[in-house]
Amino acid sequence: MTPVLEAAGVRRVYRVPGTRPWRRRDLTALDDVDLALQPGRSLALVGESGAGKSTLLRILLALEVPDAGSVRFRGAPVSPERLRREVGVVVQDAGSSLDPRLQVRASLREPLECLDVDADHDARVLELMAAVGLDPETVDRRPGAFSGGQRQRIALARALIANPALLVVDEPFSAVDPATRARLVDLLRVLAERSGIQLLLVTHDLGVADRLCDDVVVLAHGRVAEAGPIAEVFARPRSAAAQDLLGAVGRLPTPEATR
Amino acid sequence: MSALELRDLHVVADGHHAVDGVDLVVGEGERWGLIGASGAGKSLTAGAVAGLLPAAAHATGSIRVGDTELVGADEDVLRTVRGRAVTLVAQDSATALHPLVPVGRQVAAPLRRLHGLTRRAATTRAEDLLADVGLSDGTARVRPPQLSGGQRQRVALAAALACGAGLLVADEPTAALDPTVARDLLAQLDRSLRQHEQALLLVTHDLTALNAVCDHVAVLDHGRVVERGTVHDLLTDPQHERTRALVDAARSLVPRTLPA
Repeated sequence: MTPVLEAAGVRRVYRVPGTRPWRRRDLTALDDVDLALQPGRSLALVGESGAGKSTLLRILLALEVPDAGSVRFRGAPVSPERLRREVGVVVQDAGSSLDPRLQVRASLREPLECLDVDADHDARVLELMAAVGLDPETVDRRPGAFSGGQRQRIALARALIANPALLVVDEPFSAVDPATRARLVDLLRVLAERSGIQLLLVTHDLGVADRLCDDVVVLAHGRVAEAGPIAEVFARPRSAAAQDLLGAVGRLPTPEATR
Repeated sequence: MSALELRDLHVVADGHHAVDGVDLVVGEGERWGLIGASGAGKSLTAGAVAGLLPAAAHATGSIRVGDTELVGADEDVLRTVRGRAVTLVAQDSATALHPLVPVGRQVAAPLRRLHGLTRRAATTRAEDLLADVGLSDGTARVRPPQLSGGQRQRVALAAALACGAGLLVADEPTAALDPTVARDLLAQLDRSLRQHEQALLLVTHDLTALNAVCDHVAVLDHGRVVERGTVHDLLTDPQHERTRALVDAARSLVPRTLPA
């Protein structure tokens, strides 16, 4: 089966300016990266800061061109024009990505208008407000009137409003407290299941990855250290990078241990 | 004598009664965590203890650090308490480092100022403290921009430990760090506290961090302590509904499968 999104042999090198001309050097951000998002399966891209997650994400979204290798969406080369209709994006710290001057209604209508979606735009806006658990009555307020968690919900609604096939989420909900994060993760899972949307999740929170995804790609120093079904990789990590990440997961005492 | 005694602490910030009658006793060398939802009053409690409340906030009640009362104390008294009796490590403590001064000198500064060490003795001691927080030889001569975020946060921790205060207040010290870096920093915090026999008041959202370093915990809700106990009891058998919600959320965010 053709993967929904596929990267093959992706390489990206940045030229790092030094304090002196002879101190300039090349930094290989990504080297020979393969990745495949299979139909019907959600994928988590995990790794430490600096592993190359964000660079790979920009290349997957055709926001940046790799120095070598290719990215295909449903078998054809990616382009921003192709992805626009099919991919929704929730950026990192999404709550603050909303225009503070725009009423939520206008923010949510924007993708529908830009993509010229054939639907009752106002009805769709209210439908999405309800779907992400916000009171549709508040749709004429501006982002400042909402809490951090609520703003994340609005950003999620905006990414979903044009009914994409794939939702890309970068470091979801890292700026909110754990109780809010747990609620947002549950919301995202329910929404994805209900509408059959696939997720591509970029995160260093392995718990969030585990709740939302079927497959995982572990990135370390610009290379794929390990990839496979998340349950298998998390139970028996083979690469040092995956073992290190899993070893850093904080533990809680189990209630059974007391009895 | 206890390291910290809060009696009926109230903090009013911007007209909002954010801390509403908190009683808490931290014994010498004890490690207490303060948890609760956003806005429960955790950081204002920690700020009041460190004598570093925002200008718009006002504390009443009693905060005793050692044998000094902080509520109502004037700036001269607070200045003798900060650093000597209580030190603070915050989420963004690393931003307080001077970007152009080698970190060894920044860690040595409190040693010279508070403990009257000579330049040479302070330099040696600073190098030891940097080694204590897992930074390699030679880090002392490096300036903050040359270090990673995690390394800078360790320098901030070393500077706080350098003060040798009986109580360390840590407000989300690992929130801005990668999980692997956070784990290492917490392990170093644990070792350093034991070595320096310091008490800890840790404000955190992260119950796994709480579990890693604290032995006691108080749960704040709307400025009041709704439950307190040992970390193990509270995490395995939470009584109050607020605590249960926090523990359930934390559990749901731990991967279901992990290597044995």
